[in-house]
Amino acid sequence: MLDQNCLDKKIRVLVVDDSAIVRKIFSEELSRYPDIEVVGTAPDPFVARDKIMRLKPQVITLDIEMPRMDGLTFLKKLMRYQPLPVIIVSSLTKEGGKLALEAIESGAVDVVSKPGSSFTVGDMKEQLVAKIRAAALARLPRPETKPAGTPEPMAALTCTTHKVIAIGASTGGTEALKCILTKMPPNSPGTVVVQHMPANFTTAFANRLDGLCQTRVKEAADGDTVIPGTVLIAPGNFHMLLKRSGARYYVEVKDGPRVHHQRPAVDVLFKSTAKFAGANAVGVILTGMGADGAEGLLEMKRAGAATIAQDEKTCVVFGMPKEAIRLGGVDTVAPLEQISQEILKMVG
Amino acid sequence: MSFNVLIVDDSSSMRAVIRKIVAISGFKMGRCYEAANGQEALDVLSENWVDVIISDINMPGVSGLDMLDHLKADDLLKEIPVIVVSTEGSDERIRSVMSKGAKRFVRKPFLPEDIRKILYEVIGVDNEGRYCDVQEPPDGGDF
Repeated sequence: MLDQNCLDKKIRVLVVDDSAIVRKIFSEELSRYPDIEVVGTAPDPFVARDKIMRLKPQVITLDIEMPRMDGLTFLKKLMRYQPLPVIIVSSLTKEGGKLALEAIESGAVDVVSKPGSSFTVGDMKEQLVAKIRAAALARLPRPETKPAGTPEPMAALTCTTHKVIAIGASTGGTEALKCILTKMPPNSPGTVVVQHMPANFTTAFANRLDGLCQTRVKEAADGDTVIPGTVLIAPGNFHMLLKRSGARYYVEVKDGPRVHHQRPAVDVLFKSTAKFAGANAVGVILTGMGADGAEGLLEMKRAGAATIAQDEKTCVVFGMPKEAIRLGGVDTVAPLEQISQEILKMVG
Repeated sequence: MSFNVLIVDDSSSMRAVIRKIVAISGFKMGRCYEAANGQEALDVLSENWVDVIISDINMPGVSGLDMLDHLKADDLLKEIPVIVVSTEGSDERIRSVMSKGAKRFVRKPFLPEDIRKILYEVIGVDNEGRYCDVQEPPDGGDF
């Protein structure tokens, strides 16, 4: 006999996609996991809404690029009237990346790429399952009534040194990074960021941040110099390492095995930062599921770096910061809105 | 699939009539909300997911026209199609209503089959209330 408790623990998922093939594949593939149950599928927003009300799913996967369906409007309505963790399924196109980003800003918790040429259904399945598990734990911010005005940028630093800021994030990280980076002054220390996200997405994300921040933000390319006033975002599907040549810091962007199932991985960035920047670095670990970054942050701390973890209350998923705190690699635990100040205090 | 309707009219008997006509028309009605004026309508909309609005124009307080202005100013509410029903239907009146963003103007009284057709039309589904004939690309998927 099946244990009722065991059934209750399954994560209830609703798949919203206009393609019957995708609905079928998702249902079949996801149902292989003992902790996930696809409770329904929907080809359009009206059926989706009915099923959400009736079936009470915990997580929704949503294709926002459907020819006859305005997925973004559906998402916005959902976030207003029936907030639920939504994972966006996005194509590998540039347009797909932009839409997915807008979806994240509208309240979706994460984005996963549709399989493409170099990215198989198998890869996607693993990522999707990990993201569904994280999403099921996600704490949704209350539906946002547009904040009045833009966040107040901080005053310029009087001096910038050879400091380097290294930041790692996963689920919920795009919004957290936006909150932190938009508050950084134009001459902030050179900043390197790993945010777990698909390849098509990092360019759009970097471009979006570039438009919002006082610093320059760009997707990192191999060999880019880490200089004050510039934020480098690791490109999806590549690891990014900090390196040093004389007085110059630069990044190496390269292929390599996934670490904690991630590429880019926060640990790869943090460990290289510990090695090459030592006490000149500040390490920040933000919201996200899993343990990526915890070991790296500890190495940074041991090498003399100051370290910060986002607090539980402001995390969408309190996983990576929790693990980093548990390992003992964290100096300061701070709520999201104070992290930029903490960073500046540490580099000041 | 079903659609949530908001009926806005200051006469409760008129709301009941409209509700009844929509119900017997065969329209796939999910929830049906009612409001006696524009303000009540906006209150309903702040809490409830509505797919289509059927509204009178002349109401005490926030009128139908004022409500259209409010809807237009909201990123999400502006997406909801509004059908204005009225007994007075001068060309000028119709023009002003349409220019404020109403999708259709319907003179009272109306027939069930007419209102069903109009409801489906403004929502953007076919005559049977289906969202679309799901068309798979010829290669068998959009992967």
